[in-house]
Amino acid sequence: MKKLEFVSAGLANDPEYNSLGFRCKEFDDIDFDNYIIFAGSSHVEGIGVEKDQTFAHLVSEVLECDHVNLGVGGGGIDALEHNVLMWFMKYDKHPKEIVLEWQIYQRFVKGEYGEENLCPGGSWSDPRFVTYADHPLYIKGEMAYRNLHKLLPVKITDVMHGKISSYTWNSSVIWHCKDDIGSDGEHPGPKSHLKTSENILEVLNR
Amino acid sequence: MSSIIYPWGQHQNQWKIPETKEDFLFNDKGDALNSLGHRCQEVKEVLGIDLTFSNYFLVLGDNACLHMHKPVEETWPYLLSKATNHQYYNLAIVDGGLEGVRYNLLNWLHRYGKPKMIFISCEWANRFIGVEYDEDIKEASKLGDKAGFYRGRRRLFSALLEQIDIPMYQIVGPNDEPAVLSDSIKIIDVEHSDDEKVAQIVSEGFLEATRALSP
Repeated sequence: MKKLEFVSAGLANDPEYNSLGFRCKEFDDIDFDNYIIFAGSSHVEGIGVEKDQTFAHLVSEVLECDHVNLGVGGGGIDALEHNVLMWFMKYDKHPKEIVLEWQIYQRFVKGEYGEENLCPGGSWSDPRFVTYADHPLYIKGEMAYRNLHKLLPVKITDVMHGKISSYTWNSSVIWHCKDDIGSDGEHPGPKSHLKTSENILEVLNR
Repeated sequence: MSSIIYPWGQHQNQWKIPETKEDFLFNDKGDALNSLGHRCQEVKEVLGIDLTFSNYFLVLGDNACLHMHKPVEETWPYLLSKATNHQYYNLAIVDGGLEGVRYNLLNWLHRYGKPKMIFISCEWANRFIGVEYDEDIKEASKLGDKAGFYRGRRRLFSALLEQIDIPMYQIVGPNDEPAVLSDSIKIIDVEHSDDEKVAQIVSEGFLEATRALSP
């Protein structure tokens, strides 16, 4: 079976994505002395907006640093936690900041029989499972949240998308709201990303 | 199940994540538990007063590493420790499954760094943590298996373990579902309930590897 490192959902051969499927530079080209990490779902990936309109890009532009975009379309807390832990296990040089967008806890990473690739799962793929497993999935999600805040060597700034994440494990969470609609007709648009970037910068500069 | 629960999360305020002691999941009852609820010596007795000793092995898993019905001196981690003349710390948690292994290992590495080697054994790896196994949860577990939930968790955890550059072994009996699957983790195919046999097989391999590494 192919060796797994990061979980991604990027489009193959899309020039906006790096060779690992993330919407940012190749990891080898990142300035490891001056960078910031974003991880989360399609909201971090920036579905519905241009690459230079994502809040990840906008924040890093103002901070004059590189950014790693570990956003995974359809990804949940499993994908976020795994990718961030994998990053810190692989790379010794720490980012200046970490911004994590916490998705609905019912999402998970599916491992299909005979399939090498993992893919995001949730209510769209396994509605009976996420309904019956609501309690243990919640426990897993909150444990991951608390654990990452404890384990990571850099302070985390939390972002959540208000439409589906109603839990508030952190009262200072930044809400990524849908003030306009992106080009896909579903996700928040450029104005929403701009506002979220301003809110993130306000917290980071505090 | 009487009804499907929608919308999401209406019970969140009632649900509590498992308690920890000094960041570790623990056993709340059992024989020969240390002050953190783990079935072994105290951390300082294994790692030394300054907590820097690294020539020990770490045990992770569930009931397969604990065998609470036996005196600790008859369990395989203890017997292996005697046979190899190495100290050990047993982070295993009753009914912890893969999630318990994962949680305690990440916190151990964060707090104390790497041991000399790691042994993992679970009799019930594919289980949820922090919930009672009522009929709904049993159904969720079956559905999770079909949905690829446990396979996904196992592959993610295995990928993280592959980044840890120390020898790892997994003791898997004929009826056990492995907690991890990776080419870099050696499988020891033996029924964990036979503590003496586990200790014998593992210690023979351990001593052989040590001899091979000696000048």
